[in-house]
Amino acid sequence: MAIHPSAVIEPGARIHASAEIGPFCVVGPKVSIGPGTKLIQGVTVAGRTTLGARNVIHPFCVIGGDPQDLKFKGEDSTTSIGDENVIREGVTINKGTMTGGGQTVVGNRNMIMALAHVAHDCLIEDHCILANACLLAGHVRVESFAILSGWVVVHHFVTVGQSAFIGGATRVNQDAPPYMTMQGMSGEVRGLNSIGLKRRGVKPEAINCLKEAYRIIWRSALPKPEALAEVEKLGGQFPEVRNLIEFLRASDQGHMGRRREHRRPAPPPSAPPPEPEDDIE
Amino acid sequence: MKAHATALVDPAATVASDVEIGPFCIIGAGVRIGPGCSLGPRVSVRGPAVLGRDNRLHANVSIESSVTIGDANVLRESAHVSAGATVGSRNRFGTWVDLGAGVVVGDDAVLGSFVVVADRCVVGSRAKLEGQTVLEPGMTVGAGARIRSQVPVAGDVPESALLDGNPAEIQAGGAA
Repeated sequence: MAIHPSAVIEPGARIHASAEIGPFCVVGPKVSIGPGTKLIQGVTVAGRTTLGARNVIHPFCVIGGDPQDLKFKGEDSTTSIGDENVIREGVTINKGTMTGGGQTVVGNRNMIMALAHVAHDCLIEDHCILANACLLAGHVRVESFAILSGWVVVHHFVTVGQSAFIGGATRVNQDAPPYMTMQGMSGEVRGLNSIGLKRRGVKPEAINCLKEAYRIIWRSALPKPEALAEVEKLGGQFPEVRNLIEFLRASDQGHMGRRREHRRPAPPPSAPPPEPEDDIE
Repeated sequence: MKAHATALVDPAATVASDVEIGPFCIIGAGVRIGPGCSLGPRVSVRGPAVLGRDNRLHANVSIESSVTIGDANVLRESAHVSAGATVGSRNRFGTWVDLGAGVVVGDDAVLGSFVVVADRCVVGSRAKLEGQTVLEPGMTVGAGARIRSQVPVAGDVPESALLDGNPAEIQAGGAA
């Protein structure tokens, strides 16, 4: 086990023999670090946090810190980071809150670039890219292969669909549909992420059908339910098209275009109504 | 004072007995830290500076000289307060918040992550600046105002106003 003598490892931390802990790192007592994971230098890992195998955590990241949430009362919630993630300089990943499910999860092989912030109770699946200074508010879900460009802000409870591409400095206030590109302060769907789909090896026929689906859903005057029915008729045989339709229907059944809003904890009956957002990240 | 063995606390600093100082912190001469404060790893307070009571400074926070901070503030990771700034009480600053020289922040304000408040700005009490708000030097945000994330602020924001859009516009209904 390569632990630099200046690193502070609290008693109770479990560190695999092949992990590397660089100078001036601080590792808390409830932390578990898997094989081959590297903390380069000055990294803080706090809370009940698990880092899997072969992750590389760059300087000044803080993983598993307390949530920036007024409802948090010091509960022993968790942060779980999978395998082979690259987490660049100064990234903060907060632990969960009990009212929000109690865990923040990052899957495998994600690239989280410098200064990005992943708030409490977020779920990032696999192979995602969060570019520099990307800002996820609480309870956000990012599905596999999504790419969030620099300076993107994502509202609480938003779901970013798989293989979605979010352009630079976009404000994502509603669910970002899978396979599509989104851009701008009002988070408009701008087209199909055809490059991403080709990279995933999606069949050309399915890509063409998704392109037509984009035109019908976002560029025709058809009301949403009818547009979705039309798209279903057109390409229901492709799993990607079915996934897109299911995603959009679920978002419409949510609140404010966000399917995960139902996870927002209800206030106790006696309490005065809370402000709509107590956590603006 | 419960200072970690690796922290460097200048003998000319005055720190209350129950203050927790994390690993690799650097506390300069002339710094006064009140009771109930806690400092995470690698916090730097250059001094002279005054921190009231029950403040929580998370990892990598940096406070420069001649700064006055009230009580019960929360400064998240890597927040930076420049020389001569004055911060009231019960404010919450997100990660990477940057306060310029001579900035004044009232009480109970919330500054989201990556908020940049340039030199000499004044942020009123209960103001809410959402993530990535940038204030140019000398701007004033009135008490109770709210600025939506990423909004390009072009001038002073009146009390209780809600600022949104690009170009930024004051929205009907206010911040309440």
